[in-house]
Amino acid sequence: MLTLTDITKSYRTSDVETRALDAVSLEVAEGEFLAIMGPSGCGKSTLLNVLGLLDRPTHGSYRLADTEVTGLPSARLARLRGEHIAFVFQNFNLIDDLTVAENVEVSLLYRRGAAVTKDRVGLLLEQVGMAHRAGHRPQQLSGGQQQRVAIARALAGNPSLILADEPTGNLDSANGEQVIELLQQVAQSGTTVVMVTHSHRDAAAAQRIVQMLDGRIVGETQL
Amino acid sequence: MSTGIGFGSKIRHFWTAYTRNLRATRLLSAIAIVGLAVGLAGALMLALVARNALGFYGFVPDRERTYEAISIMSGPGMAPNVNAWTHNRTAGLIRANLPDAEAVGRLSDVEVALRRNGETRQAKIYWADPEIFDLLRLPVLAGRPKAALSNPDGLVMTQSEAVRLFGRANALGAVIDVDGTPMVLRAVIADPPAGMSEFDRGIFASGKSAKAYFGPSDRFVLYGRTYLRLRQGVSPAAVERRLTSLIGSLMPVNDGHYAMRLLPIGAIALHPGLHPGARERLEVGSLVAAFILFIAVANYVNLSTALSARRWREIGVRAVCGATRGRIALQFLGEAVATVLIALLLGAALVELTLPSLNSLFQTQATFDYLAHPMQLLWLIAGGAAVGLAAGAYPAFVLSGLSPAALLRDRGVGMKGRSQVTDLLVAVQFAILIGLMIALAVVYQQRRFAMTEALRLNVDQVVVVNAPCPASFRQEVAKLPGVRGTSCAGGGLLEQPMFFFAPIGNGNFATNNIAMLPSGFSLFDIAPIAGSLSVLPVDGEEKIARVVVNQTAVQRFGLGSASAAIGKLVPFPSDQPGGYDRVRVVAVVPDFSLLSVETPIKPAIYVDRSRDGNGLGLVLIKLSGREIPETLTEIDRLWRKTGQQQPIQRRFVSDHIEELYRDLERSGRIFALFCGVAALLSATGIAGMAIATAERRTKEIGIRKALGARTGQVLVLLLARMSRPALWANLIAWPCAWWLMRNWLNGFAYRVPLHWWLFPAAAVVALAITLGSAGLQALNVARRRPIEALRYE
Repeated sequence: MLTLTDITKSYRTSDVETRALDAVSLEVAEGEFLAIMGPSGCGKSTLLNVLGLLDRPTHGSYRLADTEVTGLPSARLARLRGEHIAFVFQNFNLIDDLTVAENVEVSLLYRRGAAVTKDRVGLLLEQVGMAHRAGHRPQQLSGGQQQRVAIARALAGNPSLILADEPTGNLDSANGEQVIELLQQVAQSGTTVVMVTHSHRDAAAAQRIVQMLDGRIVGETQL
Repeated sequence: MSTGIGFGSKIRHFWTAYTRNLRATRLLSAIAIVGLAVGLAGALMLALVARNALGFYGFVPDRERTYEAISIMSGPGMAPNVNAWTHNRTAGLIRANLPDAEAVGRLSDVEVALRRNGETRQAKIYWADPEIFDLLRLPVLAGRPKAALSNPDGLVMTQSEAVRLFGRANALGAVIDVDGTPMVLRAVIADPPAGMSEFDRGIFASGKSAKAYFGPSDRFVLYGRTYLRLRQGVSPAAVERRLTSLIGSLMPVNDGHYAMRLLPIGAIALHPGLHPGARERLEVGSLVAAFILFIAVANYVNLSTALSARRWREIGVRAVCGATRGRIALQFLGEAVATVLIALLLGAALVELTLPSLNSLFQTQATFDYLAHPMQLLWLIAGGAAVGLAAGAYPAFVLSGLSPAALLRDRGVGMKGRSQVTDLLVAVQFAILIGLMIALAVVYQQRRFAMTEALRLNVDQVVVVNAPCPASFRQEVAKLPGVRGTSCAGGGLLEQPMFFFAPIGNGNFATNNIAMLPSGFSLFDIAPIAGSLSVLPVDGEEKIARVVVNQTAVQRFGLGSASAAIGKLVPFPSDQPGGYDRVRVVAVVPDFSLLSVETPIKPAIYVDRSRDGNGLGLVLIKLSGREIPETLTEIDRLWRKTGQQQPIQRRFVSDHIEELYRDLERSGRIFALFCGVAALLSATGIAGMAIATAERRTKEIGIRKALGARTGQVLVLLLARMSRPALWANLIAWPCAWWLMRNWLNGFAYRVPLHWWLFPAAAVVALAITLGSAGLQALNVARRRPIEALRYE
């Protein structure tokens, strides 16, 4: 599904260069559920941004669905993002002014030829157990409910890759478990899931765990 | 089976996001939209006024080859005098000598007595040639206008005039007495579009009955307007040269120069000689309207940029869902256009509501009839969309360029250069406000100066009656208890006076020749600065031998000082054409003028015409100031009692002065209105900015207070930050305002100085507006407890 080879990402201020990713190489198979762990500041989120085409690596190669993406223009990256990738965030990132259904709809707006309608939105909300709150605003939902809506939004565009950045970080354990179960189901249905987490319990739900430290991959555990 | 998300669904989605965001930020959005509505209303109003001026006579077929012949008189010591009137033989000469003219006709605008059903009233009408309707072709509602004026008793009226006089439009055959001659309504034409022509009256009477205006004359007098239409492809310049030479042969021999120009009728409204100040007013109006629109757009840009913080998450989400930078920019541009179109709707409603008042305030005749002119509507929408694109460009550019990763990770993302751009826009807003305030103050000072000090005479309680000094009337009026004194003067005292080219030394220069009885000076509290008025005989002289001159005449004639001038001889036109007598100066009076301060005071010779009455056209009456209405009623009664045939025409000289400076007054009103609007928009913009930025700085204030800062210190910090653009604005406003107002004042021969203190005073007012509008919000933020401020994060 995706292959990173010697990916480096540096941030430069006037007199300091910070290397957030240092020669990271990683291969993730289609339908795999991968967890990335490591202490704060180790480069997990930067890696997720690179994987999600939100940030460009300074050096190295990134092949996504057989396409080398590092040199592509921004508009092409945005299109690839829309067609292949979906995100689930720790803070849910639902749009306050839109209803639950409209939030799910957002991920369909920028897809070319997406064969999706309100039926699809309804089905997805049903799948995550949120159909009865379709007309509500995000502020009217609990954290767990918001995250389930975020997962429905992520699934709406039939992505081949879901990137989850600490998806249970703001949830209690019961809601956290539900979210992880949903992600497991997604992976089982053939969608690749890459999840950044601090939680060993969440990581245990994945098929493989990658350990990061100081911008490098320092360990890997196959579960 | 599912179908893809359609275009309609997408539009509905974006519209929903837009309207919900508007609702969520309703106060600040309202500030931005109302500001834009006011700015657009100003621009629309100006466009409507400009449409009249630029499309003048647009209803006339073949407008581009239809001209008005105008006269330009010039000579030594005088500025070229442009007159819309021409010699009454002009039309005849054109017909006889210029085959390039396809049609030619005359109009003479006069005031006559109209009598109908035993009721007499003064009315303004045109004496007209029948051919005038070949030229200025208005839709005919009844009769045949050209044939109507071919009859000496023929009348043509506009529809509204016919209704006003006869109660119905179709009143063909109705008879009305015009200056004692019965005339018959023989045709009715449609009203010309308001404000699109010079027609300020709706009665056209056959010129064949106006011998004094259209009959043969040996004197070189300008009697009325001449219009002509040239054949296709004929150069007006060649016709002008030929005409000037033809008309010049009628001029008496002197040092004056006469030229005739052909002015396209479409250019009349803005011709500086015919409508002084019209072009400048339009330019100033356009500039001020552009300023107001800029302030409104700047408010929108600042507020929408400041408010964008609440949409960072949305932008981030859209970006990760595949929206390109262009799509995000397009969304925000679309929202800006929608906002401006909403504001345009409000602005158009505002114009509809206020147009009558604004027309009355600015003396314009703008109309806003978009149903009759659908193109107006299209232009309006296109203009609104253009403003929307301009207003939305910066926020769209900035917002679409934000990093989605940063936006979604935390909401403290910085927008590169946003603060500088916002400060610059606010500074320019305040520069405009300061500039307008300075302009308003200068216009006000100049107007006040023109109407008081520049007059150099006391016009208080002086009434003038248009009449050639009827002795019985004057004597009776003088006996009234409410009258302090009476006198007579020539009409030139209030209008453009007669002048001659006085031969002095090796040159000649224009000198005014004004008829004025000696008693007239005292009515205006003018005392001679040398000599005495009492040496002039009470009942005038058979032949003018003794005169009064002004100070400028003393200088220009080289008579030395005022006292040295007494007894010296100066040239004065004799009864022989082109000849001069020498007349003795018996008194020198200070320079004074009842003409506009735009024109320098000329040398003037005041002559006593009481013996022959020649040139006397005004009765001057000085009231005591008590029981004014009763005295005026008595004057009117005495006018009738002493057998005067025409209705009395009287006015206060102060009203004449008001009339004279109406342009200045209009400019003052424009500045005052727009200054107020600019101040209001700037204040609301600043208040909106203060509210929008308060949240942004909450954390900073919390930290400062946690570290020991007191409320007062935080307040000063906030206000200092918010006042900075208003202070920077002075750097832009002062030099621009100085340069513009210096040039404006230079257009007046007599003017106030450009006081230096106006500049800091305007700056202080601008600063007060900033502090006043941002102060309350700043105080609210500064008073928050640190724990509240930090909990916010």
